Amino acid sequence: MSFNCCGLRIGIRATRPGFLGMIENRLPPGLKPTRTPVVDRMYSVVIGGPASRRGLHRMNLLYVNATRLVRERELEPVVESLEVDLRRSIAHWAPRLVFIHAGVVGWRGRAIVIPGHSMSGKSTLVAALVRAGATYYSDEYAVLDHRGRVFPFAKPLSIREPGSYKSTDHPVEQFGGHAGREPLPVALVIVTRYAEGARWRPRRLRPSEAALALLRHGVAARRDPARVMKALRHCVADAEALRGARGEATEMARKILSL
Amino acid sequence: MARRIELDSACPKAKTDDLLVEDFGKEVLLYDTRKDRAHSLNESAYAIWKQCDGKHSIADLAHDIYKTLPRSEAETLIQLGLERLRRRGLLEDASGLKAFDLSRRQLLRKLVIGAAAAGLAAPTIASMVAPTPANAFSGLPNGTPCSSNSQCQSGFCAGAPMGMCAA
Repeated sequence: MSFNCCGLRIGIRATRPGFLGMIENRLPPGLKPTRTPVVDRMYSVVIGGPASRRGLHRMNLLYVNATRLVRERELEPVVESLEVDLRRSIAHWAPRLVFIHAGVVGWRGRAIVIPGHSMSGKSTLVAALVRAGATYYSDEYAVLDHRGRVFPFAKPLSIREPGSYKSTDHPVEQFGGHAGREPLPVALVIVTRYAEGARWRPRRLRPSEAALALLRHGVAARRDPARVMKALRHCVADAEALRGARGEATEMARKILSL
Repeated sequence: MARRIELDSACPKAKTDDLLVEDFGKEVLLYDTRKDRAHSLNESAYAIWKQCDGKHSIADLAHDIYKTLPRSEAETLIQLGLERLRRRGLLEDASGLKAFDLSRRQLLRKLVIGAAAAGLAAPTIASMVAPTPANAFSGLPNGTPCSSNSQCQSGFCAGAPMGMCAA
């Protein structure tokens, strides 16, 4: 099957009929089926299983174009890798959109963008904002167009258990919220990370500093810096940007939404 | 004894090759495509960089940008800005400029306060190295315990099922 997501053409094929139906709910948000026979990235899944010769086992394989990505005995790690690589490819190669590693919520018709590395507490803060009434846009990517508006990339929220590196996916409805559908202009950029006991005393960032803080998490920052910088300039043009350490997410969410 | 700062008559020139410029009006974001480094220049730093055309001396820059400050303070602020630009490779052939000692914190503090009192900003530049795609993806950083490739930023878990994210 072929799809289009954010202008990137993707093909997925497998050696077992019905495989695509099995993984349909794990595909990235915004994937639209197309009929195009020509794609930019082709994922091929070779399903393994017992071999005809005793004692042998055919492995499950995942290829992207001609490169083998994964070779596993079990199918689940292959599906996980397909899921992750699809999202990463879209973020890196989407020709018309700029992906920033960030959490995003909508509030009063405008977006709040929270850039940050993994394990900085983005998803926890996004979940707290959604519980407090904000609209969910993403806990992974702020997707910007050339005018700096943010589009939804509403995958299930990945929340890490306290003290663990492992995360589990949760649909936004579990937090009493819903996903946004329309692009929004950005009102606020919050550059923060969780620190136990921290009090929120932010410093205001200048517009170019705010753009720099977002560029730090730009997936295509090195590949296409001119396009990324232009989108960021529009993104921060009418936004306030604040930087500082934060404490507990629930209290922080209350403060953000009262700004 | 305070060291007298000698002014030179060099006319600094801004680097423009291999540099992408995104103008924010009073500020600017510069991207050095050779080093994959980005720099945010505040209003004063941008004004200095823009006027470094190889024709304006430090005295000229001081007069244009910090005209309300006493001359020596103005020229010292310009030297501060030029040093910050030079260290980031944003000036062409800065060999003619005398190095400015950025470790002189008390002097710098006095300058910044003096400029602020006059409603002006000292030249400041924030810089960073642009991330590789792997650095910008979700996932655990290298060296973190993991159990599958998909958990790692690099996409590679060495020694799965209980290994570490590797480059």
